[in-house]
Amino acid sequence: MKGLWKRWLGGIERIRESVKERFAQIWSEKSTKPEAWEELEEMLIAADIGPNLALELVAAFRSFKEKARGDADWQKWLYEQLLSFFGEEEYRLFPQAQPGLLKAIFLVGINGVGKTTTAGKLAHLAQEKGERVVLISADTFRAAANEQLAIWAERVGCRFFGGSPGADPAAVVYDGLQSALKEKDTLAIVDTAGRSHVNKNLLAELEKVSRVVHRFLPRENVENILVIDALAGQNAFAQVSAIARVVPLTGIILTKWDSQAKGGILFRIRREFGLPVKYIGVGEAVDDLIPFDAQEFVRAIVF
Amino acid sequence: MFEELAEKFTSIFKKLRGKGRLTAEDVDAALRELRLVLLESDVHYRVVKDLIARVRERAIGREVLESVTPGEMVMKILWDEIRQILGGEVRDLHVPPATPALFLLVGLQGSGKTTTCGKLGLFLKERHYFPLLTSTDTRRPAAREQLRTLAVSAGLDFFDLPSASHPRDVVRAARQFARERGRDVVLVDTAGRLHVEEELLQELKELTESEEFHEILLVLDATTGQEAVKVAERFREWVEPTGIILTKVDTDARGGAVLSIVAQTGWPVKLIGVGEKLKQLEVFHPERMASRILGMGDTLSLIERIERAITEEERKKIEQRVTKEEFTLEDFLEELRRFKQLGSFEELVSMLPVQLKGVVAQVDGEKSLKRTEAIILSMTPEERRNPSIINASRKRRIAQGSGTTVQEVNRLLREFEEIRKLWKRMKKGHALPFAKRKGFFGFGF
Repeated sequence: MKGLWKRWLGGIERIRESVKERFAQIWSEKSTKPEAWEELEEMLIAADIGPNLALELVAAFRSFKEKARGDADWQKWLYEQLLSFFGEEEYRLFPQAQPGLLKAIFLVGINGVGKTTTAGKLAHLAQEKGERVVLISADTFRAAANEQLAIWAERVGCRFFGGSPGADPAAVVYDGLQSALKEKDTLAIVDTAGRSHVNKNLLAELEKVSRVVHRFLPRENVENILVIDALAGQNAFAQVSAIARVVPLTGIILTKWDSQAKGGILFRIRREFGLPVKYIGVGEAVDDLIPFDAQEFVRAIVF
Repeated sequence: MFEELAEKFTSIFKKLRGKGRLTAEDVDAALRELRLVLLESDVHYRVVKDLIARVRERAIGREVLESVTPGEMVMKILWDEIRQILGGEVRDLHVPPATPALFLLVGLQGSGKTTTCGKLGLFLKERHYFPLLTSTDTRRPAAREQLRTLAVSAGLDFFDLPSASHPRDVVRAARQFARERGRDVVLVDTAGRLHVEEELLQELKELTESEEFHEILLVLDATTGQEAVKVAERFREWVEPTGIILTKVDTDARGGAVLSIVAQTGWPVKLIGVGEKLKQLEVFHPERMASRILGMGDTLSLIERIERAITEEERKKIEQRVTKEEFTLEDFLEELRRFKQLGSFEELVSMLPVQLKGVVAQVDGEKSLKRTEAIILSMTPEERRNPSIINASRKRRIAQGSGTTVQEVNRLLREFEEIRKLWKRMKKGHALPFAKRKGFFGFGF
């Protein structure tokens, strides 16, 4: 676990270095040159926070600085600004689940963001907490997707359910959930095929699978999680918009935090969609998934 | 891919286009907006800065102020700059006569290496090579199984050496195997690695030093953000790719990352992956991409895709028919079905110029394609071959059978008559706008 936290904090460290120093420096200056403000914008943009949000944040900081009196605390100001993007209790899954009923985590996202790996890690976490987990692979398109998830199930020591290649994913999920009820599993984790968010047919298919899940279970017992790659740019935003139209998303998991990307897209997604961030993936090992704590995250960046 | 970006550009330059003369303020105002557009598209901020500065320098000079249509001039300058960044000319894959040639695919996790490996195999096979696929990925569960499945479905050979302790051994054995079996290109898939995992990069370095690879292709996800440049720079410290394969081009609404990487490294983009099917790998054309960014559409890629959908045999059949017979509704139906095979209607429309797109979108293409098909299917074979016998009562029957109206049947027959005229002209050897493409462009495009 020690290495895990090191990687997590290491990630924050990278952001802190640039953010804190740049803000502190501008704060200390009597008058700031226009180029310095632009550089501050660029620093935020380089973290993938998006140009509009960057401009907005810098403008707000600028007016805060101009109006500030002697005892104003820029760190407190920035902390509140950044924290305002997030809500309370970010990381809890199933905050209002009906007890005694099957729960399901439905993972969606485009190809290669790490859905299958995340499914494996989530299964591991849940098993540790005493859940009976079944991993369901609804990815009947990608070659060997079944095998990949089955190997994860074996590693974690949980049940696996998959359909034959080319089968209708909705039917596979239906059968999978049936089997979960029969086997008295407590948590089903559904891995879906990577979907391109511009393809109408694929999105329709996703919607169908999602409907199947919701038909089985009450809303509170389903988490529809969007998996996003920390390396993704503003394009990730387009993904969320498209997928959110067909699946009622309830949260985000950010993967590949160990890539040293800054994942600034989180702020933008959080603000425009209000989706809570649940977990952050920090590596390839089975327990490389840690709960996201917004306060700690923002505090580590600012102070 | 660059659609949204292209639309934005179009609207920005509409403002400029309306003017007879351009002032420095005009250019600056447009460039300010442009900066945001490019940043929003994940072009690296340093690259944006450079690009804007260069366009400004060239735009505010005399060159623009004295030309007749200044707006178009700025657009051309920008197109030129983007095209130049993207590499100017088409750069082909280098397949040396060495037997076998060795290609290595490297990249981050999830960038699409394994899928691309399968696609590249098929791509080479279509160009009459005999590729052999192999994988050194022992880390990701079922990675090799995935490549094997892809190879089988593409009808390609797959080589595996489960006992290998080092990627080097796999490559060596695969090369030997290829030589014995007369395979001329070996495609080596590798495990995905982050640009910060030094141990794995070291392994890659050793691999490239122990074997002579003729192409080292960096597989890059088009949806990557600002970090893309750093990824490329860090990879470069260990291996020097000979080119880039850009993947997930179909998913990306923007895709500025490729502009950033090419600007930063000068590595040529050689191929692009445009979908999840194995056939969906295309040659990268800097000019087309630059045009596409600026809203001029990508009709050339569309044409190429259409050509690939026609097999040699079908082409001969069509040619025979042109010289002998009339073009009938049956042929029309066949063309229509082939058109549907090309990809989703949306996908095809996305390649058209922005100006045209609006028109097509209004027609609601997918639906009207289906209706057209239904109408033709409701005709008797005789009617299809000889539409002139279709009288009013036949029209009513056809409309009823296809669930359409007589008006729609009439419209189809009218359109078909137009196409047939074109066809006749072509038979006489007149050049058509898209002479080589046969019936496709008669069909409404």
